Amino acid sequence: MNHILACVLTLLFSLSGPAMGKNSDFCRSSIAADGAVRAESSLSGQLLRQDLLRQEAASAFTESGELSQGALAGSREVIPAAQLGNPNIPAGFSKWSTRSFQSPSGNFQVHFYRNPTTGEVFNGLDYKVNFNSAPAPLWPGPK
Amino acid sequence: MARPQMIVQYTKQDDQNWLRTGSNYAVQAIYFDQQQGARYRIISDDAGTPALFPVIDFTIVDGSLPASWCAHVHANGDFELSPPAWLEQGFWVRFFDNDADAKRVFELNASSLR
Repeated sequence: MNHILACVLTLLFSLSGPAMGKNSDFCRSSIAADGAVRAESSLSGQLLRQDLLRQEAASAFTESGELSQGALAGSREVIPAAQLGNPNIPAGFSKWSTRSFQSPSGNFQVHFYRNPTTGEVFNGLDYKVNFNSAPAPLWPGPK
Repeated sequence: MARPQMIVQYTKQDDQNWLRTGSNYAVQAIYFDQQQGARYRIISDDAGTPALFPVIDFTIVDGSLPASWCAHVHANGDFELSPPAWLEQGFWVRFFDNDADAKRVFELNASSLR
């Protein structure tokens, strides 16, 4: 796909050349090729970055959607059981947070309930992704 | 004259980036329970999350306790020292649910390093 983009950019610049002299054609083609290489390189970099961010985000979870062992191991307690006061949460379970993970939509933590004595995780309530800051809008909106 | 503030230094190696080894942190509150012992609530380097960390992972740099802190004993015997506004029932639940008012109350009472 990147090669197609490079070819299209080169073609666009070469098609606009006939009105000028041969030397100008050469210059414009050369500039176009240079620009195409830069565009290709930039696009490849962005795609690679997006892929790495997706991989990091996915590493927080197992295939069945539960937290991975790595995510659990790096988690910290944020609300002890006695401060929760929610009868729907089993006794002895407290609120925990994973470390931050990167994703294409921004950094996030996962909040969940866990029994600090047994290590058991309770996903029955409030198992959620919490973005560290509001994700950037897909469309910036009217100016 | 500066207000009393408890400051601790993190001494553990942390590969999860919650805190930096050798750095000083202001203690925001102290929580004691029978299972896990005493823990400091500290604003972590990871997104500024105020999480609980075992006191054994720190050395005390300044042991002064803020005069505004209050003691509270929970029904199960857990004990905490904290700014009184954070002791209200449900405060931390609202905070971690991103309630704007709870966030504001937290900011008002949080201490930063002098």
